[in-house]
Amino acid sequence: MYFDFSKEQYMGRDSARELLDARLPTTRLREMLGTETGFDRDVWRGLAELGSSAVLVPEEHGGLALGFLDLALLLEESGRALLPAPIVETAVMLPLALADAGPRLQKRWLPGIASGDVVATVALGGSEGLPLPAGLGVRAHREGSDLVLDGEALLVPFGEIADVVLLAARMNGSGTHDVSLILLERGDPGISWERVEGLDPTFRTSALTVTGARVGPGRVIGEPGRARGTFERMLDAARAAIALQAVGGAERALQLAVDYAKVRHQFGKPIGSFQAIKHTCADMLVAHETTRSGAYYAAWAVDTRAPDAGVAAAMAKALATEMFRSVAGHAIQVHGGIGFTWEHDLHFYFKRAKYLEFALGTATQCREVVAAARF
Amino acid sequence: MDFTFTPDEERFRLELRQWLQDNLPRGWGAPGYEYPKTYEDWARVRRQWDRTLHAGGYAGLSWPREYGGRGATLIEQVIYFEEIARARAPEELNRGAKLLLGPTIIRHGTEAQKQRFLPRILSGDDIWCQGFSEPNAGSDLASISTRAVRDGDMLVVNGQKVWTSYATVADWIFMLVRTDPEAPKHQGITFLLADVRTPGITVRPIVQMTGSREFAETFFDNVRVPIANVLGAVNEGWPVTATALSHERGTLAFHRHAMIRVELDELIDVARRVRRGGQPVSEEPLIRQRLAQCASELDMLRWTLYRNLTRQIQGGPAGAEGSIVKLYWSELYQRITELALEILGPASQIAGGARAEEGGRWQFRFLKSRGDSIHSGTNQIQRNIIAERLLGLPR
Ligand SMILES: Cc1cc2nc3c(=O)[nH]c(=O)nc-3n(C[C@H](O)[C@H](O)[C@H](O)COP(=O)(O)OP(=O)(O)OC[C@H]3O[C@@H](n4cnc5c(N)ncnc54)[C@H](O)[C@@H]3O)c2cc1C
Repeated sequence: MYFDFSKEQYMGRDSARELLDARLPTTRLREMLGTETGFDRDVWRGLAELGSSAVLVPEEHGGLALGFLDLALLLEESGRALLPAPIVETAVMLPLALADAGPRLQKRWLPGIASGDVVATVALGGSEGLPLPAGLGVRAHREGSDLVLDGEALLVPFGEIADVVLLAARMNGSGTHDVSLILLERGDPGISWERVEGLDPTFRTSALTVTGARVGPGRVIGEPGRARGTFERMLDAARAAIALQAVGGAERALQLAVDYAKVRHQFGKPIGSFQAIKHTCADMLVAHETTRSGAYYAAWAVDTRAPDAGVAAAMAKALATEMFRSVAGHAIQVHGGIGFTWEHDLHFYFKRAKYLEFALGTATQCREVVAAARF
Repeated sequence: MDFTFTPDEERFRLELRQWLQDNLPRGWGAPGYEYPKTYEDWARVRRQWDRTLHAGGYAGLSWPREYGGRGATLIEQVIYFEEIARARAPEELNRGAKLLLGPTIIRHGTEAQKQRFLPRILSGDDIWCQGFSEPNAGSDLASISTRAVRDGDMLVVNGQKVWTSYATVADWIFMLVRTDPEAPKHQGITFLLADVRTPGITVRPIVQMTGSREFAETFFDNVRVPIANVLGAVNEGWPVTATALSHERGTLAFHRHAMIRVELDELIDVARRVRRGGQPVSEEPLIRQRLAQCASELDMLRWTLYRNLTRQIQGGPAGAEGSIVKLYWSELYQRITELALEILGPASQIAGGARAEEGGRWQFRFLKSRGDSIHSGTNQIQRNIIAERLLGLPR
């Protein structure tokens, strides 16, 4: 029984934090608001040099062939820094999906992912917001050995700059349990992107529209309609990843609140000496520490493919993202008027929290996963 | 990271599980078992259970072997709490003495005190109660005013304690008295051990909101206690108290976690069984969400306890982290018992008889849970501790 990370894993975290503190302060995030892509390739490459997207890639494709736990703290740091990049998609979801793909697809994408040359994203949900996979927004039907795709996926992270898009689709007219996983490439005919003005301005998303796009069997992971297992494994890991990002972001928001409570004076005292503020901060820490434990456990469960990985990831995702939103909200309150300004950084945390809360299944949907497994 | 137990730990668990099966009263824990009805009957069962545990070598698990304990590792202690909860074993009547007082005597006691008190704590021959709180000293414990004045080799005690759990059935009381009213308030306190049958001590039961007479007010009228029964030195009782309190917030949370887990599993069964509007209550969307939320929070508690455990095994302090789990489990337990009553519906209000749901068990837990955010330092006090010691906010 040992519930902590290893020395090496902590060293990896420290390097990531150092890099992100130096290259991605919130002043840089603000500059990026005005750029075309909202994406910083130097930071991306810097993280790749630390192995970010190589961790889960096998050695024969230039990866490090390590486990999810070796990536967990870097993901937490990416959340702390509000990293504007599809790191969960590229470093977690694609390698996991491609693990079940044929050798040609693996060879085409994995080396680039490992090196950081490839930016990948994942297209899932439609506008209805149904739970996954029922809520997948794109439908597929067979024409000969090809699949023809129609529909749309909302809020695809950094879709416009992605080199490859992992699209999850459902077969037309089939049951609710089928999933097809298809790799689309930039420039494929029949696909178009439209930038969406998201709630979180530091995290670009696009809507993907697919009209009659035709892909051959070489673009499909596994069999059409039968990738449910791969999809679930990928989803579990991604939910754990998002929980970790939420834990990282919340830590920063809590720190900002506590620091401010020590220096801001009213009525002749630091506001942190008032119990209303003190107890709010204590509650933030309690929520943060407990959900952090759950996120770490989910990381372990995903890493070891424990039977309860899906449930652990779902509960961690639900509770950690709600915790992040609540902690960021309280942090704004602790700051008073300055907390409500655009000039202060806190709103970026609040908005990222909301993005994470919706991503890959809302908290309500994740709780239903827990319910379905337990009763 | 590693969530497996060693073969030795697994063996410890299986032996204990078997031992519990062999030693609990026949049928205990099974549906329909007739449990004691009153607090007094419970106390008798629990007292007997202390003796059984002792005979089985499971008393004083954490204590060093030289004092009759088992010298168990922290992980074995956790396994113990998980298993006794799983078996729904009665709570030890002398748990406060085993968890709090024993380790405090081991740390601060004289050799004679150790010889005299420790074996009888483990055997259950002496049941102890804790006389800290007073009518005017609760959260501000250091403001106690029960007086003790020296008379030769005796201390003469006058004053009153209150909320003394188990005082009506206890043999001994460990208590705080003021021996120097002139000194700053933390410096004039003495930690004293007194026989409850000493002339001048009167115990009057107080009925709790559950109806149970589990605590009491304890009066001291010229009670003569030998100086030899001072733990630590006269006027130096506060550091001794700090030792005792640190144990209060320590491993106990593992037991509460394990018990809540057993009860939540029970509640899930109830929710699947009870039908409303033609379907099991567990199918109602709001109930599903709340139940799943409670189950998730309980897992957050579990993993937080395990993280703390690892930190302690690595030599870190139990410290203020204990306040995080105390706050979390007590409030979670209140939410769970509230949800339970909602799941059971209006009949959950019926306390006993044929119409009571689940024998009125959940109603009792629902009421009892309100005490959990008060005893062992109220949740406001825990928040102060978290804010000041863990976050460094100003006093
Ligand atoms: C079930 C149960 C069993 C108990 N068993 C024992 C026992 O065996 N032995 C024993 O000695 N005692 C026992 N107690 C007493 C318990 O320790 C006290 O009730 C507790 O410490 C609170 O003290 P109080 O009741 O005087 O409340 P007070 O201290 O008067 O508190 C009243 C309210 O004010 C709040 N408050 C007080 N100070 C502050 C502050 N600084 N900041 C913010 N809020 C504050 C409290 O949180 C509370 O909400 C038991 C209590 C219960 C409920």
